[in-house]
Amino acid sequence: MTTYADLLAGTAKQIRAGAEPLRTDRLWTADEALDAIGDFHAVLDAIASHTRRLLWPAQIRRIGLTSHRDGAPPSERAAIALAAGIETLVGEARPHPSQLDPGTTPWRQAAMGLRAAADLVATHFHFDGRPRTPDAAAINTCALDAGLVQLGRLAATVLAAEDPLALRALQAGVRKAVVGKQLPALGRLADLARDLSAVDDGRSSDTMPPLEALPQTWTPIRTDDPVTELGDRMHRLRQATFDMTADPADALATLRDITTIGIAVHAHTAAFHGAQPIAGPEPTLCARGAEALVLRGRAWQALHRELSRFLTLTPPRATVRDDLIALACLLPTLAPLDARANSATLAAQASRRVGASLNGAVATMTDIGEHSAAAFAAIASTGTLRLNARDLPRDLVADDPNLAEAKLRSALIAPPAALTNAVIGAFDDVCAHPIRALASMATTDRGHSQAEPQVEAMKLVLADPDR
Amino acid sequence: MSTTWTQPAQTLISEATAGWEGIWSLTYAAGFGALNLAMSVPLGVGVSISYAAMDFRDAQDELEWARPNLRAIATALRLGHVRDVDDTAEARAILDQLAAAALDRAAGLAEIELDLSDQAALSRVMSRLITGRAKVTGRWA
Repeated sequence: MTTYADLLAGTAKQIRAGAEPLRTDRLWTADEALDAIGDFHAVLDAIASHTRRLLWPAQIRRIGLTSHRDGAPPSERAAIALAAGIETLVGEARPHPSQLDPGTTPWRQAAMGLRAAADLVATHFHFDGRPRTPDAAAINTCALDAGLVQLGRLAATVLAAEDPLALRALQAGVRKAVVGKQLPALGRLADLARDLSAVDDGRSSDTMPPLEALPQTWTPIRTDDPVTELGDRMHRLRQATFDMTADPADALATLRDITTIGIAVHAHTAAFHGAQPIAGPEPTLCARGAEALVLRGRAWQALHRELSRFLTLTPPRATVRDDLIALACLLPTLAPLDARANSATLAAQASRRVGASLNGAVATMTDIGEHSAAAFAAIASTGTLRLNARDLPRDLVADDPNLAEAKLRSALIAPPAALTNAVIGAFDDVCAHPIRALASMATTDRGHSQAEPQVEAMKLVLADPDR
Repeated sequence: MSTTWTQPAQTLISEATAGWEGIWSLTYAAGFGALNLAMSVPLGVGVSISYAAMDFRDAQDELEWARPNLRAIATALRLGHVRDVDDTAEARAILDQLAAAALDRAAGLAEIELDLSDQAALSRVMSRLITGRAKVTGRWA
């Protein structure tokens, strides 16, 4: 799946491809030279509009922060100056003329890639800067600043081609006045780009920055390969649970159904890692490694039962049933429950790929657990939860005469706070990764979720001893 | 096993009415029993039973959306945990019998219900019961 990083990598490649011929080949006609200058403007314009796009959520988030009162951070100041300088050069006509023609040259394709990347970012945010997706929720202002720094590097690369381009244009017969007007010694813009690219972007070497990991918001399900299909469907489930946090009114049935996938994902992954969940003895509470996955499956089972107590007042508007059915078919294909050997230690690439995908699914379930907990808490806070009093646990009823009477009458009641808190507590049990001591590395070949980078090295060490 | 699940289940199957209440009672018992059975057996064995519990519960939801008072008035038989893992096969069979009984009654009711929305609800209930039976008996896995 295409990510922001993919689009920017393609853009950088096209920018280099556009600049290279200027070093070795002449432009043969004035028209050819003017076209090249137009393409040069197109890339710069795309950089400016992309810069504005990244500044938009960052500036909204900074409103009211102390740092804002003290002035914008260096990266933002440099980015604004760079974008304004570019806009002065290329004009403010919208759409930019380059957008109306097909991208047939490397620089035009670079511009197209940059605009696509800007649109990709935009689809992750609401118009007021709120995140629309869990990936966007992981992006803070530092990540956006790091994105501006990346743009500064691209701008510096593009602007370095100004002098060769001006010389080639003169060589091709373009009048000096025209060259001077279209390429008016952009040294100041180059300085701004260099300043921007020199800002510390806070990038660490071992994790992919969240901005670069941004995938498409719409998840196409690729059904040609079970491994990629598993990743796609888990990604879509994560998005569905994230959406429920914003509108949880009818989410209860969906939350309940999702717990079954939590059970299945952990059981199949445990089987892949040799835990023998069909025959093996029940692991102890301090179990580590693959057995910790069995315990996590049990935690999802407990959650399934807890959520089943409550009445589902309305049918869910958006169901995840298609994904659940597909996952229920996929998981046995990838990791049969009756496996007797540990497949995680096999060196075969196919086996490693399946392992990475399953581990990614386990990590994604922690995100799903977190979003589900938020959705359930939101439902509980609205006071719309109901259950039959006969489904109340005995210990709750014993101390409360009203509840006891309701239980005798099998009355429909609002659940006591102790019960909803217990369910929220059950969600807490599934939010952290079952295996804590993880090295970092991405695992699936789709866009990387926040949790996925932690999964590759799931070498089945040290589970949380408190669990 | 036969002392904890068989007797009450057989009683419910023979005494449940042919109407909405009877279907709900049978479906509820199957769903509740599946939840408890899934937690009583090894996790890997419980996966398909949890899927079945999901389907039975979805069927129960469909019934309650069609007749919102069922949850309050219909008989709710709660099948508890299965203590002996060796009884798993028999427990699966009992859940299957409960679901089959609910399915028969739903099919019969759909024949005489005149309201189109009720017929549609019963169709969805039957669909869930069929898939739930397939999962609980292991035919689907």
